[in-house]
Amino acid sequence: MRYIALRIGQAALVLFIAFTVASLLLAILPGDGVMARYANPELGLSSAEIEGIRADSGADEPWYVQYWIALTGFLRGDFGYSVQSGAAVSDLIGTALPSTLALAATAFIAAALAAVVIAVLATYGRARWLRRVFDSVPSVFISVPVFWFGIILAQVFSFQLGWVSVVDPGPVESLILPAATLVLPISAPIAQVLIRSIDEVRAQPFVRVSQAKGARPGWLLVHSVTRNAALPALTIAGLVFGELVGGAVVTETVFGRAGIGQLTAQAVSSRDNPVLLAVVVLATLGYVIINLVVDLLYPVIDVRLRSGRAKPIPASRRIGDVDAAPRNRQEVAS
Amino acid sequence: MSATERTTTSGPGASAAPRPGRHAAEPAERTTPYEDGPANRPAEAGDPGARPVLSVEDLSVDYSLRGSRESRRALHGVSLSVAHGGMTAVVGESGSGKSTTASAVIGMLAGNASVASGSVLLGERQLLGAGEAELQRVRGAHVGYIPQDPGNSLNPLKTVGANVAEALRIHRRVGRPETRERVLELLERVGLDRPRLRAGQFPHELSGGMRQRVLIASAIALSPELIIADEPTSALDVTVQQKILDLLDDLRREEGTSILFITHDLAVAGERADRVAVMQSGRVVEDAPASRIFSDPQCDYTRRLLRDAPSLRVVTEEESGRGAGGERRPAEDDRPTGGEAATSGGRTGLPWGGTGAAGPDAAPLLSVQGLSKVYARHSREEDDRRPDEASTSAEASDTAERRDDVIGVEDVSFDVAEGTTHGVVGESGSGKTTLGKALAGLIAPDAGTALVAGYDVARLGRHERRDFRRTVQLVHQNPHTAIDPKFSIEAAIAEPLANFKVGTREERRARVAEVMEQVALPPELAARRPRELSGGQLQRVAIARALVIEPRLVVLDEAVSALDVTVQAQILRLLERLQRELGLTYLFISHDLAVVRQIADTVSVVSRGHQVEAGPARQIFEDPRDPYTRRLLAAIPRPARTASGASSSSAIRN
Repeated sequence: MRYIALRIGQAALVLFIAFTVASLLLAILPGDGVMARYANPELGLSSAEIEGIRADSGADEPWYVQYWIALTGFLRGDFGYSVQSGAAVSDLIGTALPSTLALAATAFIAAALAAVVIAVLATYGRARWLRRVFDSVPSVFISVPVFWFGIILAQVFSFQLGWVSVVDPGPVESLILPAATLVLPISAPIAQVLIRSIDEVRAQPFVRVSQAKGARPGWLLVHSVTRNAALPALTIAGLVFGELVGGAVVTETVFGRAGIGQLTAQAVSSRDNPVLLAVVVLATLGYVIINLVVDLLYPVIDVRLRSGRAKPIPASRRIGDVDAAPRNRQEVAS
Repeated sequence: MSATERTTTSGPGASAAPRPGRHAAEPAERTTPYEDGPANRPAEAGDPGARPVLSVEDLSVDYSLRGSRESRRALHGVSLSVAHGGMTAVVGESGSGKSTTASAVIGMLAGNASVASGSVLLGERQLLGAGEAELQRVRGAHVGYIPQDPGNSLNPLKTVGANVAEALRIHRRVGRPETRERVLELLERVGLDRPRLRAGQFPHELSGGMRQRVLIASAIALSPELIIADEPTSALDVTVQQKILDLLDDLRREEGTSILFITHDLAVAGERADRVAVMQSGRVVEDAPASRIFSDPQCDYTRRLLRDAPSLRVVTEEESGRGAGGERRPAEDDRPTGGEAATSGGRTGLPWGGTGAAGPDAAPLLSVQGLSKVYARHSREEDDRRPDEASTSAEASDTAERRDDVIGVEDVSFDVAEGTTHGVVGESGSGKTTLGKALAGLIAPDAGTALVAGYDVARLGRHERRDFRRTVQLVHQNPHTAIDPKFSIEAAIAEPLANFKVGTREERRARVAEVMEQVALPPELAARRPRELSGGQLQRVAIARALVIEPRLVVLDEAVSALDVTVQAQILRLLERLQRELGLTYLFISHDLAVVRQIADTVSVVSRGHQVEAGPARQIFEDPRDPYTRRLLAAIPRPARTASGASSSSAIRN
């Protein structure tokens, strides 16, 4: 229990740091959302009028005042209003979130399954050539650009074969191609780690002992190898969540899906700071939750981590990786 | 026995030309496999003419080399057999092919290995060339397997019970409730206390000896006719080893199980097996009843093994009544023949001259008083997890057992005279390494003083510490990890000189050449990398690196434990010669009493963090006061038992 309280405290700290760093970076950048929207010469607004709008929206305050207003707002659950559309950020996110969650969950589950299939074929495949082919699959997957693959999928399966419609598809249909696109960058690192850990576990003496008891390779895979090999793969699965966020931005743009990814892309192009801040905090929250779940799963899978002090040490070490990663992701995205 | 054996074993070989009387006539020809059809050989145990449980004939195995079509032969026509209820030991040093033989029997060779020829008969069943499905039926059900390393040989995520039940489940012999019952029965059979509790525990909650019992339980789950035990006790302490070997003996006696016993330890083989096959470079160079291997070895290599095995040397010594000469004398016999005989008495005036040197008249170089470094403490009563030791506590109330268990060391005192060797003996977890580290100044003691050449280890100033490091050097167990693989040998040895900024580049080079000569390393190795050297050569490098800055005390922490016996004997001879020539003082830390007996002048015995006994080596080994020391000594395998009285081995057989 104390462990969980500690972890939740750490998560809050991670959220705070992510928010602060994102605010600072946005403040450092020249220009702001008001300028981006109203300084368009076609609108024909005078500079005095623009200054007026800036003063009304609080954009001319020093960055620390803006930061303080935004922070207190976030703590109250008020994410502010989009500079671009004027809508409440919470409404924008509330509309976009379900579709992105559906995409992320589908893609993640499909990627996990794909990773297991790739890893098993790469290690237990019947023929040597088969193992070799699947052993190199992760490197191929990770090298394929997501936007390109998305376009290719849409071309082939939608426009040429006509199996799936990308123009006004049904709710399930609309998930297929974007999820398939996301499977590539997510399954690759999981499969890679799984292949290595299966190889490592297979070389362990206890597997040989089970083999000497008359076990078939399939029995060994199921009873001896799987659980032991799952732990490193689980760690990496938590870490590729960031890939999911970055991937959602690209896929949703390519397939024209309304979602957090598309919202982010629009907010970046229009310097819509309140939306960006909310997205950063949301992504970080997702990251923290996923990795908390992963950490809590460790002792379920590995009994050796159940007893006493052994647990917090690897967990806290991993936290260091976790809080650095989402910030980087977001900075790249924005 | 030996006369009849000679006539029977010199019969026509299975595939090659007959070699009449080859043991008598050609003792030097040790590269020829011992060809001996089991059909010609009366089974060792009981009823002659009975078909052996396992007979391996003319087995050859090739390993294909990476990236080429060529292959290297690992086994050359190996033949051996295991009689019903008998134990055949396959003895050899690392790389001799003994484990490959074991793997070939159960068809579990590495992926790049292939059988070139031969036959493996389990009863009437030909295992060589049998399909994988048939082998799967045989493994576990007809042949049990006990691995070397109990630490990693149980699935860490399964309970002990589930690990033992694996064989039952794989072969689907019984239903679920019966499985559980059988598992408890098996755990009890192998001598685990409270089987119900143990079955629910996970492997990491058990001690090494208990895990090995669990592995034995799972090997005998389906009552196989044959058990292949691949170095089953090599990773265990000597007292635990004794109990595991006793258990295997019980199984043979009570269930008639036959055992193919793979070991590097000739003494264990001689004590327990009724037949011994000695392997060298993939060949069986001698195959004979255990008693004859020890009383009348035919092959040069066997004789060398016998000579170099420290525990066996002690036995020989006792038998020939030379024990009075002192414990380190046998090594002296080897000096002229060792190939390392150098200028004897290069330095004179050193307090060397038998055990008298360790006497109180010599000023101690190392003086330890009440030294303590305690990491943790458990009371004896709470510690119920180690019945391997706990069961013996009824026998005697020795010093350690009256006190709490200590992780680390507590209240250790001894003096070591300059130019002598102090042995620290103890089992794993006894605190001997902590002691060595404290004396090398690597960890600060909690209490007590340790004076090394005038430095108080506990109170070293910054500058003193640097000087102190030149006085004391450490040599570790595993030279492969102690030497940076990226360094050349010369750079590795010169490293301390560079650290202490001693001399110019040329002077360092000259000094390295000098120490390399001292440790008998050929100069051409200077430019090589560590991976190109053998374990024995690397340990010489580690010793050279310790000596290069001319320390006065060298702490040797299990420095010869990872080496094959013949290499071990060379390194021990080297250490003795260096001590004589350079007047070095050694702190020799080891779990191996026989080795310590051979090299030490004075000895401390440590157990669970306590020094239970200290004194001159001869007194400790010949007249041990503490029950723990007595137990340790009694646990040393003694092939003399079988050699002197065949009665004990025949008692086991029947």
